[in-house]
Amino acid sequence: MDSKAHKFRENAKVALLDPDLQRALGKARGGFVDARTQAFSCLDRHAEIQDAAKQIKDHTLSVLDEYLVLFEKNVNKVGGKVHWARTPAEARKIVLDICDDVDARRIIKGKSMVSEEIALNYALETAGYDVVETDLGEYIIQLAGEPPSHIIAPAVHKTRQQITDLFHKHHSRLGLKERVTDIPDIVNEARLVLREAFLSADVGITGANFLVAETGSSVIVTNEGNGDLTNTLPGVHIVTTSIEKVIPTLEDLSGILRLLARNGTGQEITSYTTLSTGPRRTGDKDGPSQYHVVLLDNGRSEMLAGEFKEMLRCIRCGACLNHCPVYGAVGGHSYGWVYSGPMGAVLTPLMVGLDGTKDLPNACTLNGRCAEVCPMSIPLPDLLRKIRVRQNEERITSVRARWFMKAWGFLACKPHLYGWCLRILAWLLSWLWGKPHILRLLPFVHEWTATREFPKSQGFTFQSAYRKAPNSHE
Amino acid sequence: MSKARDSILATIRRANGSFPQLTKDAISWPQPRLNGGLAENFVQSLKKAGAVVEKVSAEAGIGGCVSRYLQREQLPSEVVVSDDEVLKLSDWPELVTVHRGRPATRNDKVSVTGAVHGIAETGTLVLVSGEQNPTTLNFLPDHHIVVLRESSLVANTEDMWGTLRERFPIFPRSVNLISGPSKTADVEQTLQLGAHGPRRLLVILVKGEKIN
Repeated sequence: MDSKAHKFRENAKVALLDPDLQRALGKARGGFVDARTQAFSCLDRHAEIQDAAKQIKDHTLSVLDEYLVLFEKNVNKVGGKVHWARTPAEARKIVLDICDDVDARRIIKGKSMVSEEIALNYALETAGYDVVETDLGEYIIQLAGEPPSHIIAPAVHKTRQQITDLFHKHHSRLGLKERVTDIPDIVNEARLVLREAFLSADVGITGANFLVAETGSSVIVTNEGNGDLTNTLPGVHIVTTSIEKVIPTLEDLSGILRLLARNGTGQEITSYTTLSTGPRRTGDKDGPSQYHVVLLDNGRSEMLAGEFKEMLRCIRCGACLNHCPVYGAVGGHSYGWVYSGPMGAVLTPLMVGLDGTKDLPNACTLNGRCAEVCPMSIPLPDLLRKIRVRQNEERITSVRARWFMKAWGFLACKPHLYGWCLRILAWLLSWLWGKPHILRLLPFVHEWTATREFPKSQGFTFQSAYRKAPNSHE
Repeated sequence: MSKARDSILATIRRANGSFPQLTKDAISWPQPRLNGGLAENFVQSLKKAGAVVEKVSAEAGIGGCVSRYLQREQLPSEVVVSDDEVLKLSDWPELVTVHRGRPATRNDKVSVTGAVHGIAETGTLVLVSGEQNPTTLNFLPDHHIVVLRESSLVANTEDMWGTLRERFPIFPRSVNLISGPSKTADVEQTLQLGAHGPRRLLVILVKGEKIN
């Protein structure tokens, strides 16, 4: 999908005033946080596991080429095929060619953020294929014609009432005329409708949470079982994934799995963890006869060289979204592209460009909760700060802000002058209080006073009060 | 697309060229300790995830246990059973129609399969695809019954990978780690069992060692 990140401010304003969205976000927020806390309360040696996870990812990234080549070799060995794509366009073409090659008509999909990143559904639908998302959340947003608003809970922004309406609108023509309003009935109706899709699809597309180099396996972590039906029933299984997903061994998978679900949904482990390795074997009675892995780069290999390398450790658990006060207030759609929250505010500018995404790294209070919960110890606030610096260097930040920062930087390096300026400012603010007509004329002030009272200045600075206080020089 | 391959690998090598390679030697994964015995942990975790666990004292009792489950759940007396060797040792009550050696179809309500291992830490069943074990049996029917020998329980997944590597020099097409029935919380974060996979998971734990 095209990025709408340049509209962050407008989107956020609309989101804050949308009662349905606020209701949905309110329900999700506390739940995810509590579930995560609960899940870690009974994990022995959490800190050590997290440390090993960071180290194993750093190791893998430092020799990423070797692990990717090993992964490819092992996929080939079992009769699968690895395809390399530098860009979303290359990745889409690979998938389209495979589907064309097997004369596919219906394509079913398990949840894949890389597939969202390359806007695969649009490309497949435009080419005339019948595409059905099978993860319940993805199915709901497909019916609504919306992108996901959360990397692990794509329909988290939808209320039950909205889902009821969507199902009624789309399922009526399938003969399901009754409105389903209870959650069990909603889930059942989706099961019924999607079952037909599973059993009649020619191609199944899933993502991958991990790629195991040692065995050439792609791994998906799910609860619904839709991913497993997707990679078992159709004749062709395509995995859309990206180069940083590779890990060395099965033991490393065991280790990282202890962190993934706990951080995401707050589960110790999800219902299904599935390792798919190649197409069906001689004698197998089911399973796809073709197995393809599409490895997307899309700027990741460039990130390896620079100051954003640590972002490549991300395992897409969603914990940073769940703990972000900004995400919690404005929801995922405000971010305007497929990734949202703190990880999205880092990835989107790096993937779609600094231009047009300038509000994302600035819509952050640098409160640090994301870095605190990140299982891969990614310093998200630091990375956001680095993007701000880059914006400033590339003159993407507004002229006013750049001059302000320059002036402040100049003063901050000269403590005496800084102190004098503050003293003047303190006096000025104290004099201006009670004269709102003049106050309003000052730059930036209106942004503050639009929603709040302007506090009265005492007329002196903290520094001068501190110096006057008894015992201040002890 | 070999051009893309070369270009991606070249960019990675160029990027990594200026950094030291980090070795893996010093990295060790800590394994959480279990509170209590293998079977106890295994059963507790599975029950917590919404599965039902039954115990039988010998392979012969598997069929009876399945039959009682069918009656209790008011299901038709018809099951599709994998060719796993543990299931061949069972006696099946006459009233139960047993289909063998085929994948699941849309009409199958209940499947019965074996599992190569059980993981005590998380209450996880390890199922491996192959000629005798079609994967559709694990996902398509509404009810999945898994039979596991208590002697196949291990503490963590790490204790199992070595055995799998030895047993399958070519890694199986599908390794399914199953830790409960199918579920979703995609509607208002409310947990609901039976999204797309089995609505119910019954685990039958068989006492004792494998008889050769």
